Amino acid sequence: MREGAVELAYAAAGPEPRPELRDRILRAAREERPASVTPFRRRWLFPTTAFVAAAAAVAAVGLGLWANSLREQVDRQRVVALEGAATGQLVISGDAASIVTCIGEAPRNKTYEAWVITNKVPRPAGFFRGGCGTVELTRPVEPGVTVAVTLEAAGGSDIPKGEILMSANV
Amino acid sequence: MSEYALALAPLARRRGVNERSDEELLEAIAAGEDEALGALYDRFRRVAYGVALRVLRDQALAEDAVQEAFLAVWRSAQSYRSERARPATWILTLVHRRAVDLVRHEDRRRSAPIEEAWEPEASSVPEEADLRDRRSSVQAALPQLPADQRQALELAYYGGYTQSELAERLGVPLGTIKSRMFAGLTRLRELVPEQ
Repeated sequence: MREGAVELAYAAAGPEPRPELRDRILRAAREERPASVTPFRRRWLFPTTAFVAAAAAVAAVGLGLWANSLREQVDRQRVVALEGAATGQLVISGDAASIVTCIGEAPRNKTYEAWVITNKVPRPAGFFRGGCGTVELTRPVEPGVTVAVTLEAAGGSDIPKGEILMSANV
Repeated sequence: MSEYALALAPLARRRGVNERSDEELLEAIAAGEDEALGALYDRFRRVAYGVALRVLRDQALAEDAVQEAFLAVWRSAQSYRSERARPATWILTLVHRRAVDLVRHEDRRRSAPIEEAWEPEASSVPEEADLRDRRSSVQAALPQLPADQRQALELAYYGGYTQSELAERLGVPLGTIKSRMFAGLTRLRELVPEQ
């Protein structure tokens, strides 16, 4: 329904927003600029990736072939959009994956929980409180799985009970 | 956003931001051009703020929803896929989602009578011709829907109610709500074809 009736957005005639809103948006965007300018694949946002890159750089001095192999691993990193009521990016490197997202802080007594869903069976893959950051998934992510995020009671859950806030098919 | 699209962004930059298509602005945003974000905001600000205000009925919250949605555009323009939705649909969906998230979080709707009609004061400021035409088409089409279909669509979209919540509040079976919304949306799309 939400997306389906987007036509109704056009019918909601209203007043102009205050001019300050434009400045607020652009100021906030400029403050976030480093997170937006460079494609994820080229940046060393993630500790594991940074480690691999640093290792590759060191190894390049004496072990050229090994370094090339590590570089290939970095280049194999893939980014998939997580979509839904909230959005984020799923960064996959080999079978390891991280979620990069900016999402509101979870309410008190709640936590965000990531899931790796294989053949319709969801398995917990980590918790986070929200805000802007990176969450390393605790389970491997292989082709064919779905990664999703729900809001669950604090402490997490063994099965998802909350609505899926964002998801991606890998 | 494909690498091909990113490669095109510098070419598009040679033209003024206001001359670029919505897709070209998104490509420029994906390349980190904040001027393009400002231009896209200028283009959609009124319809975006209009839908947020209609859902939230509060100026400050509506501004928050619009800000969060445009920052989501800024962060995720690289993941925009033109084959999935037009830029306008994508942007307005982001605004609507943020507004509904906020209205549900604030629980603002619960205290409002469900039958309450609420129309914000319209603006006399001119807007882009295609948005104005689309607004006129949808506003002309809505009264042509049967009243129960229009009510279900408007409450779901502007009120942020789920189908189950609507069934409960209107005292009708869930299947009735689903069929009203489906029929209403189908009719609306016949009356207002996709551009």
